[in-house]
Amino acid sequence: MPVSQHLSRVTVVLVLIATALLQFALDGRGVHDGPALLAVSVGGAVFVGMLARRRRWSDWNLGAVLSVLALALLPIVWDGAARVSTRFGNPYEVQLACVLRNAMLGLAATPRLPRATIQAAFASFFLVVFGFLWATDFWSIGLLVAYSAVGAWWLFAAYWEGLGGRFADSSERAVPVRPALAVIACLVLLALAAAPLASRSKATTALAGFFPSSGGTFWNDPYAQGGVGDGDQMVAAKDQASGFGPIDTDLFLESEMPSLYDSFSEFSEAEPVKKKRVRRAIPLAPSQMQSNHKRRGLTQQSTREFDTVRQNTAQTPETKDRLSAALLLVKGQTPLHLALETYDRWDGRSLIASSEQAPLETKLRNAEEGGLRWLDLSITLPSDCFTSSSRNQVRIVNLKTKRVPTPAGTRSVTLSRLHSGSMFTFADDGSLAMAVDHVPQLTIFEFEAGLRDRHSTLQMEQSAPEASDDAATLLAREWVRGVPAGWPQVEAVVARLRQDYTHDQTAMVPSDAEDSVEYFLSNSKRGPDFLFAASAAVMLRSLGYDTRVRSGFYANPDRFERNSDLTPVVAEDAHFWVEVRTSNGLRVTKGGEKLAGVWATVEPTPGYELLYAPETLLTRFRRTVVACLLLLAAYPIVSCSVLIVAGVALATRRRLFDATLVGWWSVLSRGAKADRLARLTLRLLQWRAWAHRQSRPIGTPLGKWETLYAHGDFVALASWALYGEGTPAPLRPQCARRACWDAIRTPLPRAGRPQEGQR
Amino acid sequence: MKTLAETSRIEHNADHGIVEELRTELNQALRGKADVVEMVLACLLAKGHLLLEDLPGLGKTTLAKALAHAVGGRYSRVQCTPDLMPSDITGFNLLNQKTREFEFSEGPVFTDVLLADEINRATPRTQSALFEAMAERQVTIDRERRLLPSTFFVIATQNPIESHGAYPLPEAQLDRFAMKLSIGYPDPESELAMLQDDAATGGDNEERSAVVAPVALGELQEHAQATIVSEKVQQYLVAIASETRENEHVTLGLSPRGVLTWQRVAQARAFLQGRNFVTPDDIQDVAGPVLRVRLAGDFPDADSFIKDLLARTPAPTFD
Repeated sequence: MPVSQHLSRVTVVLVLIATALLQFALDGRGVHDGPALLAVSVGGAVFVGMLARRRRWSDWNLGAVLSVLALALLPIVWDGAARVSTRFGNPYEVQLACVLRNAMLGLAATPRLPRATIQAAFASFFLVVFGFLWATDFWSIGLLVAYSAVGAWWLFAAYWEGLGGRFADSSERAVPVRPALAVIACLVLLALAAAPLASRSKATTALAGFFPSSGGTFWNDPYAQGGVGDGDQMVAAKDQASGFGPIDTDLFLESEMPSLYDSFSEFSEAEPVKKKRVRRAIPLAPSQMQSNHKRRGLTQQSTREFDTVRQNTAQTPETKDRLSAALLLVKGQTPLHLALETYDRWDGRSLIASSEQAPLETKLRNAEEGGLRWLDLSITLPSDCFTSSSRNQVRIVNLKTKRVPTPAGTRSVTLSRLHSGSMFTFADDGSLAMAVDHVPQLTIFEFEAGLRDRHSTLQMEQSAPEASDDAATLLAREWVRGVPAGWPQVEAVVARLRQDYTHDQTAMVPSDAEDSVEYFLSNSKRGPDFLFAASAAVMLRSLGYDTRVRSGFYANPDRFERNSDLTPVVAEDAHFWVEVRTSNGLRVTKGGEKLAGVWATVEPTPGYELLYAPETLLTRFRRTVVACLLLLAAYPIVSCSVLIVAGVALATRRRLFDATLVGWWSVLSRGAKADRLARLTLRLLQWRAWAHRQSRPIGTPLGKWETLYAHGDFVALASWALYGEGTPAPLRPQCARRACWDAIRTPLPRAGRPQEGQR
Repeated sequence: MKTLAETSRIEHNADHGIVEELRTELNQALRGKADVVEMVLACLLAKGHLLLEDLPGLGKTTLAKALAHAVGGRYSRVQCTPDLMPSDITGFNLLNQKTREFEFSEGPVFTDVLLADEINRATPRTQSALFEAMAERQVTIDRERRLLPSTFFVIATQNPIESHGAYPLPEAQLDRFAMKLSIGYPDPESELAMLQDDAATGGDNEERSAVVAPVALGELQEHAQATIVSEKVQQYLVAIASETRENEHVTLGLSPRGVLTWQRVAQARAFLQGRNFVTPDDIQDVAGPVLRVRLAGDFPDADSFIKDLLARTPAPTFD
């Protein structure tokens, strides 16, 4: 039984509040395409509502089920399309929340369907709970209060509606005191229970025992969200540290291990432990350093982190060593190229590291958020190509180097409690390095890097191509024949390497080969990544482009561990790639020299990918439209012909459809008996009416259908075929065929203008 | 030797000659009201009873008398008043002084066509006596059951504007009527023709001859009830009936007896149209008169509600 209009309106308000709250939460989580999907979903819900009103849906029929289902599944389809076309998507929990939201919108738009309003209200409740747990802004609290108030009103309205018809007309209604008190009490309890949820750390304390913890309690789970407990998972220490791990904490354990951090207190009982071979350190307040008189466990594995509180236990638990083969742990988007070394020369057999790169200007900057101090590198990336940016954390685990593994396009770098720019320096080849012997274990770097748009075209300066006629040069010329100079040529060379050559780390160049690149390009066509990089560099240089080879690590997305949200980088991930110098962008050296052009990464080795700026589905759509327009402009005669034909077909689509139906009727009606003939004709007429937007209203029988007013004989025949089984036909076979033919060949009357002969 | 279909068609043609004569006769008596005459004929062939709700002077009595004459049967008229007793309608046992035995004196109900004028002015007790005759075509007097003619047909009238001193018919009793009609005012042309006829005849109604004998009327009714109703049309009827029962604005939906009556009237309507099968058009054509007498609810206008109801319920075409 449909609910009252009042209750359905209140439900719509609930649904809108829940939708807004969820959207705030999703925006806070950086959900991809969130507003666009919301706009399409709301538009879809309005459409479903109009359809329900027009079709007068009062029960769950096939159309109603399919409409609501299609709206509900829209986020999954949207995300699938985005993943295929833009390679960016949303987590499954976000998709599920969007599915629930769309189902709620669809149900709220069809209040006449049985129980649709009730289900929409329940869905809104779940969404509000989810949304509030996700949301981090102030507005979500206001929306929650508004939802509580409207929700209470909804409960009252539903209660009164349930009582509808049970009172005599003369009875007086009074406020139901007991249910009202019960509802108010429930709301107060809910508010009390929800209050600690505003802060995650308080929530984990308040709800300890109700949810699985990070360990140390009876119910623990590596996938838990709260940090209560003293188990194996890493918890950021605030009061008491129990081990070492690659995690950003407030507390540091005293240790002989090399560290970037150091502290000295005059009130220390023992002599401070002197670090060996470390030249620079970041000072810590004595309160942040926890003295340590026994051996503590070392965690190198990528476990889940908990940034909340630990249980207050009298005895600090002992943590065991959890060692790992990972050199680095990367947090953030992957694939990621982490550069360590630069090579700018090739002698035919070896890559030779650069030693003449000028260090860049740096500047320490206080970030507005999080109290971090960032070291900005004096690099200006061209904003038309580098359209987005990303943040990545790189945690040093087993890598022993003084150089900092730096993502491509890095503009800023920081680490916890960075106080001075002198902590960083530059190596001879221009790579970022630390002013220490080597970067200590468990150090966490954070980078901000620009991301290049996949479809952007960088500006390139081409010097005079080499006059050499070695194999690489000739091959390069052949590959770029007919390709415009600049970035397209770079892409052409890289594409051919990735397409025609095979990556094989075990395929070595024989010792008697004079030139490894030539052997690789001409003979083996198979080799490790450094041969790909060297070949690309040699070929691009032969074409006159500034190129250099870089080595480092490749954070492979296949190694991503969902449990810890980290990507381990192991020794097998050592990798070589190429950078080409563009003519746009700016670099400023320490000497104040302004160098035009920034280095852009290209990946010649098949199987390795670059990280590009995320692309929304709408951007992708816009670009496709632009590409289509450009294609049309490139072939004007064909385009005009196609457009004219399409325009004529569009203008005469209904006539074309009618002609098709008549042709179809002519074929199918051959040899048909009167009843089958009448059914066939009626079915085709219904299709034609649908195409002309004159479909028969569902409650209108054939004799009262305006479209058939002028075809009385056909109506009699069709009625007989449909309802008069076993009775004699009203027309002779020849007359029956004539009546059907008249009906099918006569154009439909315009809507609202009955033809002559209207009965 | 004739086939079954040919035999059926010949019978059909013969029936339609009679029907056409009946139609002509009634249209002459009630000018400009062909649609009302069609409904009256459908009601007659469906063995139903007719309730006319209209203002005085619009031809209710004329219609009843013309119908009675046309079917060649007896005609009685009862003017209902609050002091009308049941025995005034059904009849009573009278002591014969000569034979010293009770003899039954038939009331006006023992007729072929009965006009119960202003039926809502009779007391409920008297109304009940009439309803037994209508529903079961019999009357019970002093524990003795007396049968009425099988073609017994009641035309009851009621005045919609005078409610003082009236006993409105309850919904349950209204269900005994097959349909409720309003004749309404004639159009100007028909009214002009009526005036010219009256001037020509001097106000004397010519005595019309019977078109059909009561026995032939019974056969016509049987033939009308033999009209085929396909299952999908019956499902359509059931769907509309269910809708009336589930609709929040309807306090009393269509009863099973009402559905049966509706089907019979639709059969008669198809028969009158010269068809031997019923279509959803027939169902809709008679829906107004049939439902108007049965549905009760808080809707302001019954006709609009019925129209909306029909527009909402899918009319069947293909399976």
